[in-house]
Amino acid sequence: MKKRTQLIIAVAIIAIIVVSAAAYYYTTLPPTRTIKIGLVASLTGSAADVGTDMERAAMMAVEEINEAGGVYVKEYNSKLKIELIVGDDKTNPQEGVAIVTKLITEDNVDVLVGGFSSAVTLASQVPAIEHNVPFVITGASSSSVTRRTDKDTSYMFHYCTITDDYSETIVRFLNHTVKPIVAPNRNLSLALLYQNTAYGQGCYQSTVYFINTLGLNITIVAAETFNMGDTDFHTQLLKIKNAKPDAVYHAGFTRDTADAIKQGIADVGLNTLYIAVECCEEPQFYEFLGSFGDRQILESKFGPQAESYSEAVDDYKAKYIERWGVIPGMMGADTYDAIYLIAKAIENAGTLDKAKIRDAIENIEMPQMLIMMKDGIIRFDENHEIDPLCFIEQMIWDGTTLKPYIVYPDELKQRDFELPPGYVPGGP
Amino acid sequence: MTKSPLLELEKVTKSFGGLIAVRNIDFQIDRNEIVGLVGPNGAGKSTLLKIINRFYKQDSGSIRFEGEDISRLNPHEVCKMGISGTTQIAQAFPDMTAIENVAIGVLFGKLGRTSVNEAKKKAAEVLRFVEFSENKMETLVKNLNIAELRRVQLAKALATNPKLLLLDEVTTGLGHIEGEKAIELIRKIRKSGITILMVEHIMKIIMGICDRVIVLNHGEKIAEGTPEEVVNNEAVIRSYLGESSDCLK
Amino acid sequence: MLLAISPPILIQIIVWGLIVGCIYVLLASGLNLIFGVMKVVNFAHGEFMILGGYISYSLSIFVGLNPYLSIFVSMIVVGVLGVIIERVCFHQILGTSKLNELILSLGLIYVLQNTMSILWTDYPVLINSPFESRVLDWVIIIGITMLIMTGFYILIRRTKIGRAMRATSQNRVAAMLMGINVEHINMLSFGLGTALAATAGTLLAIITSITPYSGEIPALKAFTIIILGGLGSPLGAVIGGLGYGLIESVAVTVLGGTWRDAVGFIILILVLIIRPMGLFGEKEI
Repeated sequence: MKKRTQLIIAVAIIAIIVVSAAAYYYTTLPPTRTIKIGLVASLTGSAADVGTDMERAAMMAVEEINEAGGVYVKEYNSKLKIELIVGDDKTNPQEGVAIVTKLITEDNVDVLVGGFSSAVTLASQVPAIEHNVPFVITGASSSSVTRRTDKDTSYMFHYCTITDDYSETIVRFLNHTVKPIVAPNRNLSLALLYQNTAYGQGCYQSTVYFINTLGLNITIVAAETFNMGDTDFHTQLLKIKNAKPDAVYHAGFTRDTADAIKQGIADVGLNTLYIAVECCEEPQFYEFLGSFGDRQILESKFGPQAESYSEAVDDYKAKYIERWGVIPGMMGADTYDAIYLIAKAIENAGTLDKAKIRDAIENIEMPQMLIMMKDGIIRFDENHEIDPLCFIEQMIWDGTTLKPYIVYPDELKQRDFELPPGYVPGGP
Repeated sequence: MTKSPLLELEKVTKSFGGLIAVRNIDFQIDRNEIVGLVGPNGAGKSTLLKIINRFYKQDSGSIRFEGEDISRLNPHEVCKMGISGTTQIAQAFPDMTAIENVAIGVLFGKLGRTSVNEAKKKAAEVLRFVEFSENKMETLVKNLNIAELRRVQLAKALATNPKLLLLDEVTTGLGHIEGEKAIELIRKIRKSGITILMVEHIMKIIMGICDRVIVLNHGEKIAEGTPEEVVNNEAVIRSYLGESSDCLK
Repeated sequence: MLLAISPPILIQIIVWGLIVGCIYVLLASGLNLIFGVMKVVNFAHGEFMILGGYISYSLSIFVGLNPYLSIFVSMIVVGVLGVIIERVCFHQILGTSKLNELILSLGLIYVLQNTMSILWTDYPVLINSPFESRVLDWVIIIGITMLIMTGFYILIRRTKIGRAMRATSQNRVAAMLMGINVEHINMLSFGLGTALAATAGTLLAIITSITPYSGEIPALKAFTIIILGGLGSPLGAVIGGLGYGLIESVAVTVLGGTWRDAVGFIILILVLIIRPMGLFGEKEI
């Protein structure tokens, strides 16, 4: 009995010594850590294809930065590696809130990046706002994510083209290029088919806004809605056909856009000019559409499928194909840029203090990367938005593949716009 | 060749959630008998019938039908072997006609193949046998009255071509005249060569037609014998005290 | 609003409503059969439908089978899977508690969705019709639905097994007393119900695209249809399905696409207030 008591005391003493030595050792050692970037992406659910692309692009950017040694942070007097922590918002607002909360409170991320779908991001950004975590949003296309009146969005940054950019580019293109061919003596009749979400409504409202403020000769003859995740657009397309448009602007995701164009041409017999927006710039979009996409239009800001127009894009595309075996998608490009932007901002800040990182992002000035800027410089304006250069691509079916060429604006133009085969002009 | 009895129960026990419904029941039924199963309410009569047609699985004990152990079989299997019956609450297919109801029994109640047309023909015969009115054969069962429903139920049981027919209070809910007719019918069924085990709480009916009576009380068999023997049995009289004395006379 | 639309387009809108209605008819009939016989609410019915669509898709891509013929292969595969799932899952818990059945069928949704996601990825797929003319497709879709529903009707009404299914659904105890092996009938009904869902899924993948998650809303609509049509009423499922497709099409035309999914449920609530047993249902017996 006595021996056992002695043994227990001995073990306890040794344990106390070991624990306190370890505690001492760790408190005096210079703290080394990684920079934790939380990526919010839709890896499952209706936008899973986009989310996967964002994840891949983010991983590439992080690997590249880490291979070059990491990010020099003055406070630690060393180069810190970046650790990417991926959270799946499942294309669902509730899941988005839950995963962002987890990234902040459990994973203790320093900065957040990503977010796709304005509806999801408007919800998932709330925990970031409440915890003052800088969030570079690279997917949501509604301007509302940095212009909320109900919440303080000073930690939110929008590195992404917004619905204003899409619609402005589209209506300018229609007025400049399409109207002279199909409706030289009357107003161009435009129909919209848009997702009934913040994003789709943003496209619709900005279209109306830019037609009016720019004084363009375009009339909106139909505006139909659908719900996120819908696959059947026949009835809406029939109604649009009844309104005799010269062009149909579809504001949706890859899948619903491809479905609507196919159903419009094949089932409804609405042989018109379809305009898709940039979030369809995914390899799958071209695959789904196939020959149905011939001579149809895609507004874009990053064209990995198009002929070479930028060295940075060519490099990224080659690396992406090598790493993942597929052509990069659209939203990944913004995320890739954003990771570099964050790295640069942290280096400028010289600390991992979130408020200082926020200030550094706000004041960033660096040369454009994958997304082109109107003046070639990445910087955020007073609304924490960038000033990107968008363009219009026309998809050409060569019998086996569908390939886009830039047709607008003139400074990037790769070929002349043509009307789709079997095009039927609308009426006034 | 010694013929085994038609039905043999040996030490059959069944409880529901700790409450014993029947305990250690032994009895035999020979071919072409009418055996009555009597006892006060809650004595375990219906439970015993349901164990025989396999709706309930007994906790212990064995049941043999024509010498074959049926203790582990399912209702549809013993039905095909020749055990069929009616239940206290008339069970039928409400959205089928009377003839369709009975035809189901012809189609599924016994071994071998039968075409739907043959089944309907046979069903009509059975319905006539139980004196079901000819002009209601195509009526949906949900539109029949209780006496008609009882006949359909009997016809359904007979349609399966049973050797042993288990009847659970077939006269319940019937008026005096209809009750008399039902008793006539039971005699007629026995005449056709079918053995009958019937639960009945009206002693007069039992006395009138049964060859033998088994008395249950609190889940146990307390007496067995001819109707005369049973009504003079002291244990039986004691168990029925408090019940209306009509029951005995 | 409808008057502002030119007649030929109005006809197309109605035809389209009927085509979508065909899919609802097939889906709701299978659901109704399973509910009728087993009294089980199979929430995973939509996933069986989508699985049928994917099997037909794979057959048309890898074997080159005409998608309209692959329907029949897909029916068999999904039907057999349905039988296995009934045996392995539902059979074990049937009659224990409604909550168990509910959780099991809800759980099955995710098991099936994730399995399909692994096998076919989350990218939407579409079965390409072998025909140039879409009008021909529509005629075939309506024709196939009529063919399968006629076969289903004959099976239920005229055959021995159909009688056993009807008997079991009307009175399970009586069916057992009459020598019907009700467990066997459960299994067959579940298999047949899921096979009908597989047909709906193939047709759906021909007219729109599908992902592993496309089954959820159609399944909810099928529930609405069988409640509208009266639980257990086969004719109710047919009329309810076609009617639902039409109403949906008209609602999208008049009220806009946002109302597509909501309108059916609004009608359901109204009908239940006025006629709790559904339009064609009888009072509970």
